[in-house]
Amino acid sequence: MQAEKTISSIKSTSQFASDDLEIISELSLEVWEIEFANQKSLPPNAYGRPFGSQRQQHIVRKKTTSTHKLHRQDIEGAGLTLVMVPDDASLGMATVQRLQDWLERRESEDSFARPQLLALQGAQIVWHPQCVVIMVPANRVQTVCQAVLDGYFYEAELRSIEAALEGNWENTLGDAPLGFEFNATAVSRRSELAERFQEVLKLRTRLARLTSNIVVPHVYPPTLASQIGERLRERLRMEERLELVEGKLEVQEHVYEMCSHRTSEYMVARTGHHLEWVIILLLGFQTILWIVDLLSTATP
Amino acid sequence: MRYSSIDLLRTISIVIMVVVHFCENLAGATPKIAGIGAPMFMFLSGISFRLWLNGRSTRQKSDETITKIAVRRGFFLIGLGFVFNIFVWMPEDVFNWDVLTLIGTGMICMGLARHAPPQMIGMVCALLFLMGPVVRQLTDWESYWAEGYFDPDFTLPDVILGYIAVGYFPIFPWLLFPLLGFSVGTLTFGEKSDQANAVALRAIFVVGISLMILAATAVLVRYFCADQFPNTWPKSWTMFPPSIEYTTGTIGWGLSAFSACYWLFDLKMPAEKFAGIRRIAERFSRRSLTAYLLHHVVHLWPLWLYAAWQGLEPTYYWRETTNVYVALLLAGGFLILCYGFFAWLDRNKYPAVENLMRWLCD
Repeated sequence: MQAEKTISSIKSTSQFASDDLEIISELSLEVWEIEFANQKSLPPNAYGRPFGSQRQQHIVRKKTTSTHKLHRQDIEGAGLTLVMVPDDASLGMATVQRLQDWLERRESEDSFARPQLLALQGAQIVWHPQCVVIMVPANRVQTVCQAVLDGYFYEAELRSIEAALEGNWENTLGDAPLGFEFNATAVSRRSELAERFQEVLKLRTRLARLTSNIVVPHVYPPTLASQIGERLRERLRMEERLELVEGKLEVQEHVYEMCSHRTSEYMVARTGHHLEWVIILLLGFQTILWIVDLLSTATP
Repeated sequence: MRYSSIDLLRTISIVIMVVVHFCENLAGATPKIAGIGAPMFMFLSGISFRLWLNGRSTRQKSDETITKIAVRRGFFLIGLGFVFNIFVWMPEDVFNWDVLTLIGTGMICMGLARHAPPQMIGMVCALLFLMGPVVRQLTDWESYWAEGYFDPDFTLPDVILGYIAVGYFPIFPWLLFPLLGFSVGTLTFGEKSDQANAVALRAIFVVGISLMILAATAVLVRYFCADQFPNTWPKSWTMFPPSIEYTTGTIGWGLSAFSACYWLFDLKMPAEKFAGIRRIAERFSRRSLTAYLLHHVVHLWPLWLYAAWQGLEPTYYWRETTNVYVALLLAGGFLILCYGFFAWLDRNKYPAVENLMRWLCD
């Protein structure tokens, strides 16, 4: 009765928040504001252990609050919001389900990925690009949070590379003709082309460093953390996305590589051309002096 | 798009030119302001060429078309210079290589070299500047100016030497003014005239002021320490021939005046301020070529015609017609009437020499 009343009160509250801006929970939710720091030394409020190829990525728990109410504004910050749901036998699962439904409701037509629910060895994880919901027994909080946040970091990095590549297409198509022929009118665009080439190289570097964290062999014997990582990578199709990103990046790299070849060929030829003209001008002036001297001596 | 600063400076050059010519040709007196109008005019012709290249309609034309127009305009001005010399000065002065032939040459050079890098144009300007005294020494400039004006023989060597070194406005060093103006215009306005380069403007002003200070210092040193210098050295501040101090000083004047006026009138001040003066300047500036030709006709032809009617040598009354004050009054009267004439031309949409040039060459 109590559970039905609670569920109905949640439902009615949800129905009352007709614009789906907030959700009210019977259980006390622990909300973490998470950021990632890349540095050698341990930052303040660091959580868990450092990860990454050089062990320099740190999870930073900026703020921790307990609340019964979660608003969309709470999860729309620049960083990640992690919602810890207490491992309650009666209401825990329902709360996780409600949170998943709430996250799924789109704010706009072009909103992003659907939340993914992972259930693994008693742990319930809802993954969403802005908010992760975790319900796990107390003795596994650290392990599960570490694994989820590690996976989140790599997925966010991949998403960032994808977004950057998509944003570059217009420029790449506009610059493609210069890969065939570079001319005088394009000389003023050299610095712009150089910047774009560097951006593409940076993306390549980031992708290369990310690949080893996505294409990861199975761990044997499997642990909860390794299984969470594998399941996340599988559900978010990170390996397939990695291949697609490879292909797109290769195209953009090729365009800018050709542009850089044409640019340097043109500039070298132009410098040579200029030097030739300097010599011609100097010879011309010498000829004029000779003519002047000749005419002066010829004039009585 | 017109720039009030360029119109104002061009109008000032025209006013100086009219006053100086009236005083010299009617009264035989050279005012102190003589010598700063012509270099500024040539410098502005280079800037105007850059602005013409940047113009919307010009940008739609092909490279080849632009070159042809520039070359045609250049030859038009050179031809006009010859015709002007024959009909205004005297037929024997056809090859005196006056300002029109120089500006025409400059236009052809700018048309052909407009894609050259600024450093190359700078190098040419430097060579023109440095070799000027050398070519004058080689050609014995003094022998051509024994009477106080350019007086060559009608021979091919003298004609060529006049064009290169000893005429009124020969290539060395006067061609550097339009080329320098073109480079400064490119530096300031770029190739699209969308936004002025404020950093370049400041640098141009500083360089201009520095050159003027350098020239003034050189002149003062020559003046106060005259006994330290050999008598055979050229005079320090002369327009004919253009001494190194004069050339340096007028380059500085062109650079500093343009950058300061452009900053003040076109960037800082609202367009409505001094609207009347801007309008007058624009009218004179747009008809500068007509003003140049007209003022010569107006003050020289009466001298030739009256002397011929009297049965005298046509140049009998040249430089000896009246005194300086009357000459100044006549110059002022001419400028006022000329403005009225241009206003009448504009009101009735009648063409002038500039329109003829565009009709023939564009």
